[in-house]
Amino acid sequence: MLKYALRRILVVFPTLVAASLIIFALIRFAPGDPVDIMYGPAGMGHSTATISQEARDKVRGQLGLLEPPPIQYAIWLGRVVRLDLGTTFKTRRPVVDELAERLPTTAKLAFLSFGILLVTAIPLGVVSAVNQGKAADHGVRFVALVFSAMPSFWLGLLLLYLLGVQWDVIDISGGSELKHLILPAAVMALGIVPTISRLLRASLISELGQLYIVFARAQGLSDGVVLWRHAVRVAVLPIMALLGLYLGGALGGSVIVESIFSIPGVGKWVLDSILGRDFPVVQAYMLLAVVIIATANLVVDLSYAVLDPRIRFGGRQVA
Amino acid sequence: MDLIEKPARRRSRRWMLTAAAGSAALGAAALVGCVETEVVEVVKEVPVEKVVTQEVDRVVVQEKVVTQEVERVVTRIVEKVVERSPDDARADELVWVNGELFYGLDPVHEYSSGYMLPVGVAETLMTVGDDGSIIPWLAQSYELVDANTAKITLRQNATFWSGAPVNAEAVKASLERSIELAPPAAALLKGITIEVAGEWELRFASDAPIPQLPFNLTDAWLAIHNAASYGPEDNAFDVEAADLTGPYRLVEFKPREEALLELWDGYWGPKPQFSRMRYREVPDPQARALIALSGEADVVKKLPAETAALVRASDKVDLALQVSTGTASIYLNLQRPPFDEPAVREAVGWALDRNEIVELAWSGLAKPASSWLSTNAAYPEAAEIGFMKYDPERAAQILDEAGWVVGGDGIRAKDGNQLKFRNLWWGIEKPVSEVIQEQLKRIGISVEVIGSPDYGVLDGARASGDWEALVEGWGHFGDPFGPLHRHFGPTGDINYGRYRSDEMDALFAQFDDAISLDERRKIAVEINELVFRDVIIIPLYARASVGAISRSLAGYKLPTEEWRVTEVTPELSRR
Repeated sequence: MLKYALRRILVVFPTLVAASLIIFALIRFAPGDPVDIMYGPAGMGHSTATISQEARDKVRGQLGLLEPPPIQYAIWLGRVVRLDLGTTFKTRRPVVDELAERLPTTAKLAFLSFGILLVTAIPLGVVSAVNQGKAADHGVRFVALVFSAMPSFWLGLLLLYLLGVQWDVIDISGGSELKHLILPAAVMALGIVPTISRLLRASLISELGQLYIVFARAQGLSDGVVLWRHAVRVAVLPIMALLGLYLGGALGGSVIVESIFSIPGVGKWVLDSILGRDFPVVQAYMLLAVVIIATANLVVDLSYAVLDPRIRFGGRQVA
Repeated sequence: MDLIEKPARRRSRRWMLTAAAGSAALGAAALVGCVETEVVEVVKEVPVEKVVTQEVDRVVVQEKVVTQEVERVVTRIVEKVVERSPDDARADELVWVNGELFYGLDPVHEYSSGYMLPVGVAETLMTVGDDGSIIPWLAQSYELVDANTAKITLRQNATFWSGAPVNAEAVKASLERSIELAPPAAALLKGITIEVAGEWELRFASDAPIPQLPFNLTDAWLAIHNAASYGPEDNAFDVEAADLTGPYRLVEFKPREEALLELWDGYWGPKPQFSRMRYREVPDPQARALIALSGEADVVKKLPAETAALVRASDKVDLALQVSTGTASIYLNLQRPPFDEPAVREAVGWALDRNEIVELAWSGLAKPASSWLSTNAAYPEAAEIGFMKYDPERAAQILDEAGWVVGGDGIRAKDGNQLKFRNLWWGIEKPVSEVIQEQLKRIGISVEVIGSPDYGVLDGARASGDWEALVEGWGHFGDPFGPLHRHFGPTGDINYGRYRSDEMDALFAQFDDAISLDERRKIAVEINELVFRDVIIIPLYARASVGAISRSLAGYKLPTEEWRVTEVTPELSRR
């Protein structure tokens, strides 16, 4: 198990380098110059100043953009090895500082939404499977269908309108405090609850028909023990990868939810940086995303072993 | 993270301690209500400082009074605790919501001072008056000594937040720092030298006439700041360094999230009535609209045009609609087909129904433009020329005469080439591009709509030369010298289509030498006429800026020109 985990961790490094190279190439060859965007029509209305090419080149030089792209990449990679992610073009502050300001909020939002996802999707899936073909199953299916058809931006705005404008029970302005994150976390979670609950339903129905369940019942175990300790535990395995990917994605920030709910998180920051061609931010974010996704996958793989005794003891039996 | 320390709060805490010590010394007990210490033989009372601590549900007023008695001077503290409701707490705080907060605290930093001016944080030497004229702001007077020299006399009572005087040396240092660190500021004062002519007097001189200087000095890039405090580098996040002149000083600053501003007692001019202002960044336009409708904010800027009807119907807010002095246009690539052919350019101009564009894409809020300068109130004659009406028959006739014949698929063609082009959009102009596509289809022109909210799409296409048309909007308020040069001058950076003609060169040669405003104005009108005649660009409309103002406010006045004047005026108050 330890050897397996170490191997998985080592695989992350070449993945990081490969991903960084691809992202670097993609963003550097995408149309749009950071300095032109900095002083160009994005600031329309603010100024009528005509900025000479020499002045623009001076700023490009200050940002290190006059070097050939391969040199820029090498310089950036050299810094990263020394754990220096550089400074942003837009604010000229260390990328790490800006990331550190935003990551806690995004992490809070991600874990809160993950928690909401677990406490809604799993019970719904179980209720649906246990009551297969009955009213409860149809009801859950209907709700799942409704929520899966709602884009998160639409659901978010609808909830803000109902709760903030019509009933006046929440502040729309948002913020990074926990009380401001509950609604956006719910919106994020509700987007995937139908998928998870339906997958769990299908998996659980399949598991409930297995011989080991019949055997457990024949041993006189109660329905609750058979369901939760044996069937659900195994039925959850197929959705573990999906849950891991969801958490990884949520930790990387949700652009739409963060924008609608005015949450100062990583997602909105990165979108602004992509639009402004703030290369150091985008590259740093990409590294972070790869690390998060790789970690999430690793945790999911390890959790298989914890949840499924067949995996945990499989190697030993063969030996 | 709060990047700014909280001096006011620190001061409050210090005062609390002082209050406690003073009260103990005088044997007074602080009670809820009004506590005063009896003093005998009072000769004179001078309130020397007052500290107000506001919380959600109460306000504490501490007043320090120096009392001169016969033999000694006693300091006594008066503390009043007034219970208040949450509504009262909001009463003297103005909540301001916009799509963007100033990025940093240094005026040389991008996207900073442009957002500071409207909310009374930063100021410039000149500003725009109610009638659109350029008037002194931090300057007391502006005088053109001769064509190449101007004299500015400063207000002697203006200081920075730190208390340092806004004298000639400080203003010179501020402008020179902006020139050094901010390319747009350098462009605005290009070729101009600044000299200190006295403690409160500056002279601006150049080898060329400088009639545009007063207007340039209204630009937010030239906001006056304490250069000594900020230092030689861009210092956008150094809280201690921020030293400006506006009536509101920063108390808290969370970049890209929120700024808390506090009324500054030392302000030189009439002060706004709100003791605090909360400026929130809400990036999503629909969320901003919901905030406006909920009544959570007092002023909400940059609303989507389609939400105007909801705002109008609300009983909590009023619509604040401002048509910009600028023109959104179709910029044409004159170097490649089909717009290298003047007939096609002219036909497209007549084939567009600008009223329909405004109605469908802007909910009727924008203002149709017949010629480029027609949206500028200072040029009423420009509204009398250009594409005055929607005339598809004339457009079709022009194309017929030019040999563009309608094919079986409804698209015109000549010499085997179909009449089609790509129209690029960015930002908010997608609906406009789609209406244009539909209108031009009616006369047999095929338009492919390409774009994204990302400006890089336009930037990249222009850099490669691989484009035919794009929709973009630019302002032309004030002296038209700069905008006209940039758009239609031989080396203009917004002359995207690379237009050049002898007639235009001659007009710009006259323009460069003209000094009097009347003369410059006359030439600007002639350039505008030539722009229409040669169809260098196709004007569409003046954009509308849509905002919502809480009905609990009185005295809000739409700015004559956004980004160059403060909107938090002394007249603005809570009803």
